[in-house]
Amino acid sequence: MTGRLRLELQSHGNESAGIPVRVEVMDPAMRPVAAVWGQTPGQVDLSLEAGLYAVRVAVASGRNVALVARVNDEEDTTLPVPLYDLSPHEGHEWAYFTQPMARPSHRTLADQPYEGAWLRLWQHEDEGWRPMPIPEADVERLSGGADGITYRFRPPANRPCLLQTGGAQVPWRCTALPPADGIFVMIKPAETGADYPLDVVVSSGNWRVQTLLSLLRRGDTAGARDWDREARIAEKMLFSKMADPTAAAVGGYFLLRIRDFARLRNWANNLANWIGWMADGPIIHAWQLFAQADGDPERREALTAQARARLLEASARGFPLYTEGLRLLRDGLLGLHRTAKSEDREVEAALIRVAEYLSAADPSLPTTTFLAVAPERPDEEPRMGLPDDAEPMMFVYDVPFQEIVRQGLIPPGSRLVDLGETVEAVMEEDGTLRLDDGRAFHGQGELEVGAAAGEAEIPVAWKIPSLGAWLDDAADVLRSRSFSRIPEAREDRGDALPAGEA
Amino acid sequence: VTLLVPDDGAHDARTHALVIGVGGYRHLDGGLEEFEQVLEHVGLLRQLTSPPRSALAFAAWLQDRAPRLRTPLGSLEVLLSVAPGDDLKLPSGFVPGAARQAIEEAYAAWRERCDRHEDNVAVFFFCGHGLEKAEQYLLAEDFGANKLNPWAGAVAIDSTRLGFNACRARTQCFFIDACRNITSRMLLREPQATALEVFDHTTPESQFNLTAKAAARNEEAFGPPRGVSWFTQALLRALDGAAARPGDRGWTVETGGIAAHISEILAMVAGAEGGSGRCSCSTTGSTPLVDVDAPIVPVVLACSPQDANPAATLSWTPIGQGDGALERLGGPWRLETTAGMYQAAARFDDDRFRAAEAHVLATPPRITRTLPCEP
Repeated sequence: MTGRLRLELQSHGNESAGIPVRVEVMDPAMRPVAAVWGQTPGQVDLSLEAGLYAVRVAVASGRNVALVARVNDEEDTTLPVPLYDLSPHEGHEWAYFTQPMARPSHRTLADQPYEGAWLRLWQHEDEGWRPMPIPEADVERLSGGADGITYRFRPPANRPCLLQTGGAQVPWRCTALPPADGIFVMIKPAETGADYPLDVVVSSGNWRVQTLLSLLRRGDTAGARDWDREARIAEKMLFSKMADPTAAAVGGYFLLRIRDFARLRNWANNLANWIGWMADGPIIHAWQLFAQADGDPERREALTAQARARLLEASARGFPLYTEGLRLLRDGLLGLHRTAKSEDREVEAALIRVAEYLSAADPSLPTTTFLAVAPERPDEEPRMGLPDDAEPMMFVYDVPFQEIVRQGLIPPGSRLVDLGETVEAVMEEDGTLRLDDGRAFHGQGELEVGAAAGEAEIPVAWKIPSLGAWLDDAADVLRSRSFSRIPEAREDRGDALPAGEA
Repeated sequence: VTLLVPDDGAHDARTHALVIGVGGYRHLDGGLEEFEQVLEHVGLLRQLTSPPRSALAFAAWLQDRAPRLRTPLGSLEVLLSVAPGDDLKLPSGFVPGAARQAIEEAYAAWRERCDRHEDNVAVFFFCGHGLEKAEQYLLAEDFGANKLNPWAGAVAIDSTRLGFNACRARTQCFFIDACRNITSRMLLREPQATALEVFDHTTPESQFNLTAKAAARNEEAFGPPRGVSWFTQALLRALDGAAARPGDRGWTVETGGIAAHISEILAMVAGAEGGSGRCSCSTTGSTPLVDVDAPIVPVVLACSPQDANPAATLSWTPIGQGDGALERLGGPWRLETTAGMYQAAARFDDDRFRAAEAHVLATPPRITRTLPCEP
């Protein structure tokens, strides 16, 4: 009396292919019947006794699609599972599937809190952290609607990098980036009332690793264990530490969390030694040493001394990539500090340093994320506004017209016409777009919000006949690569704007 | 009396809880023995009305649900301080007091009870003022008694938590619900507060650790005045089934389930009242805490496109087990339903929109379902 249930795990995004999903099948009394892993998009076949079943398909973010299926005797039943429903946009699927973050917001990036919101990358060099230019070739905008932007960045390999976001009303905040060939980033409006106005999601795109990380961050240790049993992932990640040190770090944190120190072997030590730029390796190794430091007092003292050295080493390297590491670093240093009765000055200094990061950090996010003016200056109450003129940055969505004029993308005095060529405007020297009826706008976001509010005759699309280009083309230049702000308007006006189809 | 459930002295596994709610701060602005606090920014701290209510709500939950706890309730001690002018009614015979010394003594006694059996469940709950520098500090009722070192009336909670790992109880739950009006930047020096026990950093975390912390930035983000804090409301909802999952023995709330869902539940609770909240959890393993009935699940049922909603007649019918059938004119429809399988349907009196139906699995913490009714 059995039939086959085929679950079609449906997703649409190119980037979201291959993301692990957990399938649970329950009977009408909600008792578990079967549990297996699948991936997006894909199929899962189950042989079940004839009857009615509840099917829940969950992704690592905690979101799930729950359905009901009837299985008939000796029949094949196909049940489409629209995982794409979990994301408002197919280009955002990878983020909604893998990251514990807020739901879609009622706000859009055109809204006033996001006026002039920007991002930039920092990299760590011998002299310390500095903002780095992002050439157009190293950033790909995968999707770019007002509900959220997704990017793929290609930062330099094997050195710490950070993404910083800010804006006129957006506090400056840094998010550690896992070094990878291509880093996925999604920026979207946060829900009203959230601590930080933007949701910033980053991932290396290694979905097997991301799944383990997200399950751990959400506190779903049972789910993480289950995924590890399925994929034997922790050891694989640690074993391939040279190829993917950040994956190795996630594997290490997982084994620490489940207290499986034996499986850590000597890999944590190697990770700490071989990947000298990463703070996570020494932290994992320190906690492995702490765990081994029981019994014989001499051995205990020696291992504790080694662990202390590792934690100080981690602190000297900066901050770990993962929030889990930040907590373990603080806890380890706190332990040493208390044991030394506050007399170990080196430990105390390192503890104060890591506490500054923790105070400014968002502990709910998987990758280390903290409010800061600069990576080495974490601050609970950082500044808002634009970066200094000379520092490279790019806009997220709204682009102030003033910057378009300053960058010479549209000469002041240019006439603009709307799509239907019924409304005209002029771009003034100070970046005011003045319509012929006297109304004034200062950025694309303001135009969009005005148009959405139903104000009469506010066109969103404007062309510049003298340049043969669109206003949005000019905005896109400043959204697609980094640039340095220019205090005064450029002389060579209009030369930097690629001609569009206007 | 502070032991609402006296220690039964059993040597079998028990749940032992220490619940602390500090709303009255004797030496802070508005306190019974108020005086000007000059150190750092301590003068910014005021009386709170939410913590004693939150602590009592949590304690009441433990007493009410005691029969369904996986590990029977062995003891429940509650320490409270109430702000002057707060008309909160305390349990009969209850003696308020949550000064550092009282907390220290209660903690030591609770620690001893928890240590009796490795299958014990240790539950620590604190609600009140907190602040963070090298670690998180919780402020006791007598915080600020010593003008030169107000921190003498505070507890270093992260060190305390790490120290408690040495307790034999394998399941250890710490719920820290703190209102943080002073930021670390405002504190120029590290607070000189001590832990409730020393700790050995080589002691591994307990087998089933659930440490959930909420740190509201100000009183508005903390909870409604004279009400239960957002975080405690979320925690109680989680324990009542919003974080439950079905298993062979019915619906159960596990430590891991609380960790996995508390942020979403907090967003539901605080968001509904125009508040906000953020919390972080750290866990090892997952173990059942309480059995619950099939939980009540908030459901939003709507039609797509949106303008189909006013014209729709929506129905919600159980399949197998669940609540009785419901029908309503016009959507979107917000309802609360028992977890289970349902058939949702939308029908229309004219052909402007297409009738639609779908099977829906209602599981906590909440679900939203849109029926495609495009013509």
